[in-house]
Amino acid sequence: MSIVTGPALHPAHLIPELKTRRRESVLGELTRLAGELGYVSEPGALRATLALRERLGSTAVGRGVAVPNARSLLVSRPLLIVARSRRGVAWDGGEDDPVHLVLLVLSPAATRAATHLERVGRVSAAVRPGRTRQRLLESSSPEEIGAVLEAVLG
Amino acid sequence: MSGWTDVVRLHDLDLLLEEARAGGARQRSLTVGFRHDGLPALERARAQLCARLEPRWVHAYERARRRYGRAVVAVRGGVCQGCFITLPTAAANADTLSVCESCGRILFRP
Repeated sequence: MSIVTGPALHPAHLIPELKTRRRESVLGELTRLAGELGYVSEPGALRATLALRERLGSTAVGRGVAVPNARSLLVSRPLLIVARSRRGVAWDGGEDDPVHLVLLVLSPAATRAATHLERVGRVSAAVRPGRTRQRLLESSSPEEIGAVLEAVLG
Repeated sequence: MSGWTDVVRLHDLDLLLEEARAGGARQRSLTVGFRHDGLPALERARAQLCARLEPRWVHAYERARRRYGRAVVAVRGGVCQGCFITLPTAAANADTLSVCESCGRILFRP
């Protein structure tokens, strides 16, 4: 099992194209999927927790990438969800530097802070190279996206 | 939102505050690429959340947090995951907020 992805990255954990373009609604899309997958017991409450995390400091890390994350009682197992937006998400309200790749990292509350932050750091570092980001954005199927991520996250 | 949702949010917010206040937290955030300038905003959010909760739940939460570090625990299979005592049937299945009569932690039913 990978420290980053938990169980093997599954195509169902990918959103090839986000429907919405604002941070709050994108967090809603992500947490709804986490709920449908059975990893989160109350998606609406988790969205509120993720929104609070953004108040500590934006999780947009530049180069069109955001890594929202949380440790929560509502999360039963570690989960990584990857979402793309070709149009871009106005993560911090403005239209400058829109986010095209969103990687949601969730950990159960019992996870040590250091372990969670290590997962977040590894995900963020994995998509820092321009080539990786390009491949993730250009992949045509969830399976291809999953393969790219497996290669960089191991 | 209902009371239990707010208590869970308070718990998760405290996890986040612990991370944010830990030594080296700012540097770790900056290394990942996050900003780390919103600690006062989180502290305000915590105060607002506590103001929304009934005082008795805030009291129970703070008391358990002081004692154990984590004030809210899940119930799985009718067992409190804080002290591992088997709960009375009514407490194990209740869909409202309750406190473990053995350890005093607030019970959360995922």
